[in-house]
Amino acid sequence: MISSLGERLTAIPWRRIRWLLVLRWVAAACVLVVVTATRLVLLLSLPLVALYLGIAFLLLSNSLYTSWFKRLQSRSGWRDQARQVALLINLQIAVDLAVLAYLLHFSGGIGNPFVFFFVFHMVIASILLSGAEAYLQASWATVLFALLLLGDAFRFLPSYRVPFFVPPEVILGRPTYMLGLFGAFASAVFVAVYLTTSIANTLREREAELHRAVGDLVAANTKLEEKDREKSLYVQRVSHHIKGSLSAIQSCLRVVLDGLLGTVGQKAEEMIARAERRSLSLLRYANELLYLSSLRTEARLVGSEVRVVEVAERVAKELRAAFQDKEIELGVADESTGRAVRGDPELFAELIRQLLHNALKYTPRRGKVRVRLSLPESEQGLQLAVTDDGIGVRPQDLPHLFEDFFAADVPENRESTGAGLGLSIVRQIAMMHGGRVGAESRPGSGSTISCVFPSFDSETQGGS
Amino acid sequence: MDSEVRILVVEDDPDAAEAMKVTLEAQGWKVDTAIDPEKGLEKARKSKPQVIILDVMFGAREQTKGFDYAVKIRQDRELASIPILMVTAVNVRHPGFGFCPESDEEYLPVDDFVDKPAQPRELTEKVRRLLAQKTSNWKNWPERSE
Repeated sequence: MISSLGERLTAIPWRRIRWLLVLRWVAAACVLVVVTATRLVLLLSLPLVALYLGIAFLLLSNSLYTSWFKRLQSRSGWRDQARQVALLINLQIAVDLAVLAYLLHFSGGIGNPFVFFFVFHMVIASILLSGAEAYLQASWATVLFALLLLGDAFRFLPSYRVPFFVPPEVILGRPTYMLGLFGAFASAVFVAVYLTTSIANTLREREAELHRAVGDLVAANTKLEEKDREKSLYVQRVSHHIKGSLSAIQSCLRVVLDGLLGTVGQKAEEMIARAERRSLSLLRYANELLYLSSLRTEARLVGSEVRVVEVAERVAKELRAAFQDKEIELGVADESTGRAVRGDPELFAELIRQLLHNALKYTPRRGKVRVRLSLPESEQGLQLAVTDDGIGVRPQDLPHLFEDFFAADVPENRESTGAGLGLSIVRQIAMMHGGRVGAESRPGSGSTISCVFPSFDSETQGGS
Repeated sequence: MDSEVRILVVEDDPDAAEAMKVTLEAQGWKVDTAIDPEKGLEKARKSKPQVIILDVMFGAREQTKGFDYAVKIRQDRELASIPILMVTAVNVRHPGFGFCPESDEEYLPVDDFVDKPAQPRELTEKVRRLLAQKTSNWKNWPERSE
């Protein structure tokens, strides 16, 4: 999410360009309405052909810009793209100014009060362009205004007269007023550019700062992830080494205990049995640690379609003996209409195995454990829940249930637990599948641990 | 002399190898051990064991010398038919290698697995089964994979 924000800030202001294109459609439509209404309602004589031509040109140019814009957006290589975008915006504004001058020329020249509309273009230019470019556009507007003024004054380009508007003669007869008008116009456009650019610059700086901050955050996050991976690799190496040695120790002790080397004294045998038991429990611990850290260093998993109910039934069958030993009833119920998810079936098997081991551990003799697959209440996906009627979880422990080594802190369970990583493994596997985990418990009457997975998405079907 | 059962244990941990040797010798079988794949190959050629017990043998950089060894045995015309029992921790996934020719691109040409640490009863049971089987399911490997 952070990186997409970063991308948005570095990106070309596509949204504003789109806004400019929409604005031009609206402007063309407004001019069309005003011109037509002036002619039809106010019955003023206007050179309709020339004005409609101007509007038609505006519409045509806007559709050209739109297709250019779309082509630019789809192109890669963003340095070149940025240059093209600047060119496109400059061209649009320059042509817009010329079209405005053209329309004014055919509707009363500088006597037309719509001359103020030049200022709007300055605001737009200052927001979208660099300072120098915006000032260049202001100069272009001033030149166009001067052309309108001088064209009438020296009669080389007399504007079309519109009744009710101030006739150019009135202005032209007063050179000082004319000069004042020009001065006011020029200063209006330049000051507009100055004010808007300074505000826009401040905003742009802020944006750049924000972008830098986001970049730093992204970099810090990447580094953190890297460190975490390194840590997991370290744990993986250490536990692998420990595991190898423990495995050899256990094998050597087992050979003696199985009497393959003749008999040993009763006390000696008991001590060896103690050592062997401890080596086995430490081995389980190392195995869990190794498994969890290898999951954490694993690259992204590529999954296939998994029918979780089949996996659950397989694991239940595999663990049936252990449940029967404690006379615990184990059931699998599918209320999900057989919905499939995307993932790795072996990982799902391990997840269910861990959940069942966990339930087995906390459920007293003759208890009941249920695996239930259902559709989650509000959303798409699949919910997997394992419910037991065991000792339950204290409310203050619930938030920590999925933390590494958590169960190891419960003293009465020291004997029976492994590393206390079972639910960490569950959470890790769920996360790898885009799922999430949760726990509910009524102390004394059991607990439910559930995982919700996104449903198998046919759109992302592909690699196996 | 031909009725003698010869088993080769290829395992880089000498203590684990010794424990397996003791276990198997208790069955009256003749057991030879090799501490690395090169020696293992040499001994296999010399003694022609009926079963090879092979450890995964993870190297320092996630190399799996045991996997390579299994492939070498199958590529050797003299040894290709010897069944291999692989000693491994099944729950830890080995990068790049699978165990099933139907679903894995690169699968292991071994006949059975025994979880590590190998428990005497299970180990002897599985070896006995492979002795009865006599030839490996993978003797024609890699032709089998086309």
